[in-house]
Amino acid sequence: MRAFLIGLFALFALACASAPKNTVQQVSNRDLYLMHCGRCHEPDDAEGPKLDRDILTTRLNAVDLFDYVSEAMPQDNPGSLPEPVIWSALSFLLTRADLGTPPGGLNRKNAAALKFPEVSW
Amino acid sequence: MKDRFLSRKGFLALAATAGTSLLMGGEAAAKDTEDQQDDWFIKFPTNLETRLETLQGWLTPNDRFFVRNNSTSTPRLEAASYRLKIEGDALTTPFELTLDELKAMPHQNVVATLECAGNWRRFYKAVYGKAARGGQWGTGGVGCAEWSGVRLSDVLQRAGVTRKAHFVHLIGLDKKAPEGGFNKPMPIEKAMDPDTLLVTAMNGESLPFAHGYPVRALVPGWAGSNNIKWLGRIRVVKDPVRCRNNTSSYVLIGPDWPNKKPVQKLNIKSALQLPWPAALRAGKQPIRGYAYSPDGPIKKVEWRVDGGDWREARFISPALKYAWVRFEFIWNAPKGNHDLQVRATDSSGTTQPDTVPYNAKGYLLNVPLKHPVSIT
Repeated sequence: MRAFLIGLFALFALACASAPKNTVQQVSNRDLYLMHCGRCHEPDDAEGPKLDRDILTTRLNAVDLFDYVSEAMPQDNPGSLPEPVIWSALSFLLTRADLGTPPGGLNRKNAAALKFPEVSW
Repeated sequence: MKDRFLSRKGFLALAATAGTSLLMGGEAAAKDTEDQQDDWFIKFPTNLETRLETLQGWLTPNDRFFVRNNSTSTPRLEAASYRLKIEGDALTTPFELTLDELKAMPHQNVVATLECAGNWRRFYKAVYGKAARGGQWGTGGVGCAEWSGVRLSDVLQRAGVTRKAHFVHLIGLDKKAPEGGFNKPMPIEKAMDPDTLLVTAMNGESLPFAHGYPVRALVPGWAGSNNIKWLGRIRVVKDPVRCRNNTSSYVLIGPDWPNKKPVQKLNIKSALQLPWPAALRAGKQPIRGYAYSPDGPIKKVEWRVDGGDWREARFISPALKYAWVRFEFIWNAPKGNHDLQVRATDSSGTTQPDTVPYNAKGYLLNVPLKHPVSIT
């Protein structure tokens, strides 16, 4: 059931991101992140910061993180990322950073329940 | 380059071009390749090899995509008079399509690597001690784009493809190519594959003339010569098709190939985004490259220096079926002359081999190349 929901969400995200028809290529959350964010955040000498646990947890929680990304990213065209793409990318990033992701992937409903560890400022 | 993969912008750009027609006609002399910038390409008389080191992202921009022409000139076809003929003795209802009619059919996008079968031919001398005949391509006869088009299977079904169909023969309108139009057959199974497309857009834009405007085939995972440009006729037939491109050209021949074999599927490869040979400064630095396979997404890319231990590179792009992956590793380069090698493994478990049989025409070389790097 979980795998089905994840697959369904990925398909939905893909459909919203691109409006392709009948595409048969499988695209994971990781792929979507690398597609839309990777160029500025992944290469060693990239302009954007490494999106690791430290930088992710500078936001209050996953909803705050989503709001920031949806307004400010990508830097050359802020606000242009479709919502499902952002949730997919955040699902990948939070999982990679051991911050956890709800079963079935992150979305606006379940993101509020995902608490980040306390940060000492 | 801005990523265009499956982007709304790309889709809208495609939609915006639908229904328009370009009024240019005739054939341009080899000017299309002569006018290209030297710093983006290595030039051959009618071909352009991409300098991989100039690419900055995952997908290859249209104006930096390698060009392989078998024609002595680039056809510039008119949209208004374009017709695609679907015919053959294994169809019940042959028909013709205008460009507008084709564009009105359901489209899908596939991100796929396209590679010339003779890519890497230049390294035959170094690997085997004897050169291979043909254009001496380095590592840049390859690129990866988002292709948008109609499934070939949809068109064949509309033409009433029967169970007697065994081969689908694609024929180009490049009259100055051998046989009056570059052409090649494929088995019906590959033609009916949902990823095999009749392409009208590349990276969200109308196909450039050099890449087959207005319609080309995309046969993902198969060598470039199967992806017929300026497509004009599709023949669906019962019997095997013998033509130049599966009997004398694009065939594996030589002492190791007693039975001549047509080049169809590509193989797994990886290459560095460095000039050949490369000159770098000593010290820590990122080294990048591309890896691709026809048999599934790339799972792993490894690198080593001077024949030492293999270490794993990391991916900085998506890894999708048919698409290449961009990888990176950090090398603390010591002064001196070195050989850098990379090798890829795909999801089927296939890894680039250490040796492959020699073929006289120099196709499909895919051993891990020793990339010479001088560090000062």
